[in-house]
Amino acid sequence: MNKTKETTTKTQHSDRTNYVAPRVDIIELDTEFHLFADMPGVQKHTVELTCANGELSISAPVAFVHNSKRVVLGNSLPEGYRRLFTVDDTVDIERITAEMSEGVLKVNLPKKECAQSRRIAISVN
Amino acid sequence: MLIKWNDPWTALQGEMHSLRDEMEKVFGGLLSSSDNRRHADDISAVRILEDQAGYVIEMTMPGITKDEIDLEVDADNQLIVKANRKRELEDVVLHRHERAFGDICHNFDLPKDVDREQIDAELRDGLLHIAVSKRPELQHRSIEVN
Repeated sequence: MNKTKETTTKTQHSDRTNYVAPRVDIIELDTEFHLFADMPGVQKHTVELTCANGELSISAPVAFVHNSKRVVLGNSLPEGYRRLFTVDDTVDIERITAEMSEGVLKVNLPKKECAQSRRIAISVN
Repeated sequence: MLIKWNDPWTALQGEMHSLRDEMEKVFGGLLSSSDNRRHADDISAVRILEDQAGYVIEMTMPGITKDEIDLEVDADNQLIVKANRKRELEDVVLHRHERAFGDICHNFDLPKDVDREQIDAELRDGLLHIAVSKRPELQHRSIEVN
């Protein structure tokens, strides 16, 4: 997965007007945040994940199949997913990593050392 | 008129019954009849497509592996898809919670033109594709004129 990088033009993402926001969960652990985004139909290698200027951007097209078939029930799959998140100072941007399986993108956002809670031992004299 | 991919179930609930009746008349039977549909659609949305060779039932199954999916056709020609989506982590601080978890159950009454022996299923990138072929004698075929 991509780590920190400047946004570059990607032709496959050129028309994102029909992209929808994926459902996400954001959880906080002692040393990191986890962001899970449900993006069924997305192939791992097509995900564009960038972090710049305090903003985490997720964008991915949905891989189309069954184009020749008639839809009997239901609407079209979204053309893609896109969502932006603000990342504040507590996150160590250089160490953001991500993985994807079964249509779920999981982004690990480690906290900076100073932002992690730590227990302080009290010595008794 | 059609079920939207990401719309909350509650917004469409009122329309569903009249929609179902309409659809039954036109498409003769290949419709989901899940009991706990409200919950199921939040976790797993369904789309049905058709061409000359058969139908494809497509459903979202994010975060679910193929071993966790139970797929069967019963004696009444009903296709039943079951799965359960579990959270990745329990007892954690949640800053945002939009994804749904729990039981998924979709039922489909297979129409008469279907060959129940010719059903293939494939799970790819969180999407389950179930291909149901039409009976060969009922498929469209061209006849050459000599």
